[in-house]
Amino acid sequence: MSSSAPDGKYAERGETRSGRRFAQRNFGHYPSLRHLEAAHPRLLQLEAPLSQRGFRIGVNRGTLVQATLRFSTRHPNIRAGLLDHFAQLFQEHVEDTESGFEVVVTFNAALSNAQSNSFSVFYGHDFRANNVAGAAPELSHSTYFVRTLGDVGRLPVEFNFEELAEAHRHAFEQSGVHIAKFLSVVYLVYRYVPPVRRSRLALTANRRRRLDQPPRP
Amino acid sequence: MTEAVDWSRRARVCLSKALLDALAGGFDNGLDLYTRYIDTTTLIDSDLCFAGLSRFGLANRTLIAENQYVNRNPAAEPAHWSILSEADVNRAGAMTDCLVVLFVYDPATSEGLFPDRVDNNFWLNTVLESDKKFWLWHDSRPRHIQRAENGPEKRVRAFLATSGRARQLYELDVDRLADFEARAHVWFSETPGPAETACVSVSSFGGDYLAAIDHLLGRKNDNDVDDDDDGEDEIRQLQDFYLRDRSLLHKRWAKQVGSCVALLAYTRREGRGSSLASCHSNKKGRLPVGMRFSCLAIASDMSSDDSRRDFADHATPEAAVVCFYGQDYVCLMQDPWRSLALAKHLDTRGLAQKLLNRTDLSEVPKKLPDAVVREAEKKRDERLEKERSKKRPKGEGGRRPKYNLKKRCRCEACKSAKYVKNMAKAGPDKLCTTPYTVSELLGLLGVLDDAAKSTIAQMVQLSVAAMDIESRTFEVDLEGPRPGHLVEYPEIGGPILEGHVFKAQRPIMIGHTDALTRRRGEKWHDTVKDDSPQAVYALFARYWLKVTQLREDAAKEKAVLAEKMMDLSSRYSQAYIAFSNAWIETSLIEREHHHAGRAEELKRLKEEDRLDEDSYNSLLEAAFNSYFKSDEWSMPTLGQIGTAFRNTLPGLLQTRLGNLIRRYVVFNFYG
Repeated sequence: MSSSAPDGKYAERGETRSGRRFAQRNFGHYPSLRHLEAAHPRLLQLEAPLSQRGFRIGVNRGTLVQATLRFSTRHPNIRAGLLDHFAQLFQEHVEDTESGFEVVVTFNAALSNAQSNSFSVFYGHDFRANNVAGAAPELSHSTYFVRTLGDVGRLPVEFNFEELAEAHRHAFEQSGVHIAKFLSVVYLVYRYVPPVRRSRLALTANRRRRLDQPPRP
Repeated sequence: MTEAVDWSRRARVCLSKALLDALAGGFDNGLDLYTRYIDTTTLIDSDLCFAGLSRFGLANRTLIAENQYVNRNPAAEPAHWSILSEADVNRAGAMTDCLVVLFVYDPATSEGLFPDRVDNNFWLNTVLESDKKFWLWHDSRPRHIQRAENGPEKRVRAFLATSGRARQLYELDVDRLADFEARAHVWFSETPGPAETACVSVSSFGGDYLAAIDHLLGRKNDNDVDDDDDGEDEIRQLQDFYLRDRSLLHKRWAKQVGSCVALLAYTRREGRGSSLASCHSNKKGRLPVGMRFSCLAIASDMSSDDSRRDFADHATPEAAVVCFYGQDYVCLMQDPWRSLALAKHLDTRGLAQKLLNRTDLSEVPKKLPDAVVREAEKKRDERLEKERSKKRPKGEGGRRPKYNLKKRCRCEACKSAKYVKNMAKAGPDKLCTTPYTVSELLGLLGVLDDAAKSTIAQMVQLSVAAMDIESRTFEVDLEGPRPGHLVEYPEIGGPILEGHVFKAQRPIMIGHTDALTRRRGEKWHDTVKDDSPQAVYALFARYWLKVTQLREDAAKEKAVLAEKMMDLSSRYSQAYIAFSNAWIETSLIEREHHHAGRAEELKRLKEEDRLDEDSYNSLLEAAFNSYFKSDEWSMPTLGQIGTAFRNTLPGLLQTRLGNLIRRYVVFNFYG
């Protein structure tokens, strides 16, 4: 419900109850990189906790699990962090013959205009319709397949951010902005989990239950 | 811990609930842990009735307790969580911040139930006495990564489950875990038996896993070390294998194992129901039940290309498989378990193999080829049809009844090919498609102006008529003039209607009107000549003749109105046929040219003696077939061109106009 101020003007989002909560999110531009970093302390943490989301595919067609791993560009040992998170994932999702994790690498970056007086965050984890496996097409890096824990060693952990910025210099040309600084590396991890089938144990129990019933006359 | 407690309360609680109860340290009880587990891991659609779980969260504890956990029956397995699932146990362990290790002991039938509380040494003594009936069932430690070298170690909790009819669960003393590991049976090693005799102990090599594997593979440190073998001095934690350079590992053992060595860590023996009872099914001539491993490393010839990649798809059938059993024991796997482990856990087939052969997935097509999709759809349809036919009830004699699949409706909608395709054989199924109307087609052709709209409206008006019948009530003859079946006589009522029908109605007058008759100022009606049924029949015969005559009159009128639109369609038709004929003529000339050229070439080759007679004839025939009998060069017939035109917009317009001209719908006033 929209609320209006006594003077007749519509209140800013930040004045409503939910607006206060999301005010910071609504304020997207900062006059300097320092201000931007001060407003996003959690984004600049060395390592974010492992988060997982499940998406149902159709009706009884299984689930797509997406895990997001985020590491700051200042992280001293991304490989160890990745190994830890993937060990956790492999504990939760059994390592078997024909499955694994598809890993999409993308980045979060600070963008700036030509005058360098306006800075904003660009998130590589994208929810727009034209995303590339969940990553923003502007900042998608590459895709890998991790079947065993040993395959974690193949994931890229060292990046030359100057070259990366140079490679992506045309990505935001139409918006008149450029990448000022890479903030974090984001690994989007996907796994398809097939629908749960009735276990043989349950079937056996049902059969036994039927056998226990008296025969029909 | 001085004594081990039976969490199953002398087998009154099922193993899954017993383990949940045992793990629920920071929670109230097993149900509380289970509720948290369901709340955090279950994905629920918002449109399901079960959405109460996600909406109310933990508040809806009753629903979970009653319906899913089945709290009233401790012996019933809870839904969606089972001790038999490796992932479920690991998740519960992660929630309670511990690593779960499970052993299984298979008691003899004479042993019966074990007491509620037993001394710590009880199980050690028991498993020491038993022979090959105690093994490691679940071990989540190989997949645990210790981040900080000097950080606090994660808590390990060990349990022992008894198999057989009465299943009990005891928590073991973790300080004695090494002793239990030593006595756990290893059935897949070179010499089956307890781990302490069947395996090599890593601790006897100072905790160096590499040295233990060296010993197992027969590599002698003094002689076999190459000059450039550096950096592979020792490994003191299992997790270090995950990121170790595969090429150096392969180089280290290449002389002993040849092309490939796979390092696995045993994590789980798959068990379902009765398979908990014994791991010696191979005695009965069957292969053992499944095992699960964590793949530590696969070092092969390919490792030199990419030192950090596991070449699971290149693991050769003769690869040596080294398996860690617990934290301290390592053995060389033997067939058939070795090949089973390679085939079941390392062999990658299908999509996984294709993906693994790529350096990255950027070139993997996002869309499948059309042919593949068509093939898959065809298979799906066949499968669905098979399932449907199975579900149909069987008729007498075990034969499935044949349904009358012939459709009786002849209306335009039901005649549509799309409609027929979307109809199930047993009845209407999914979607009813309707064809374009005349005005829509004119609009698509860009000629729908006010005059055209007015013409269509007039044609529709001429297509509609109305009729009404006046009747009189008469007494029903309930019985025939004489008893018996000597004369066929229609009777109404009788036992079927239980004698309730005494009167019926008979038409005596009929009236009909439509736009054309109104315009002419005519009023048509007819009456019966007398009170007999024959007179009613004669009345309807005359009426039908009148209706057909009026329909023909209306059709003529509508044909005049539609003349302009039909002309338009005819012009399109002529242009279409002219173009098609020109194209066919050109194609015929082209075909003749190609064929003649080929024949000439063959003739030249024959004259140059580069072709013998048989080859010449066969090639000539092949050339003829390829130009005159192949689909590529086949020419459409006039009928096919006509069909193609009828599917174009002008062709459809022609068909629809014809339908509208022929259509004459009579409404009556009987509901």
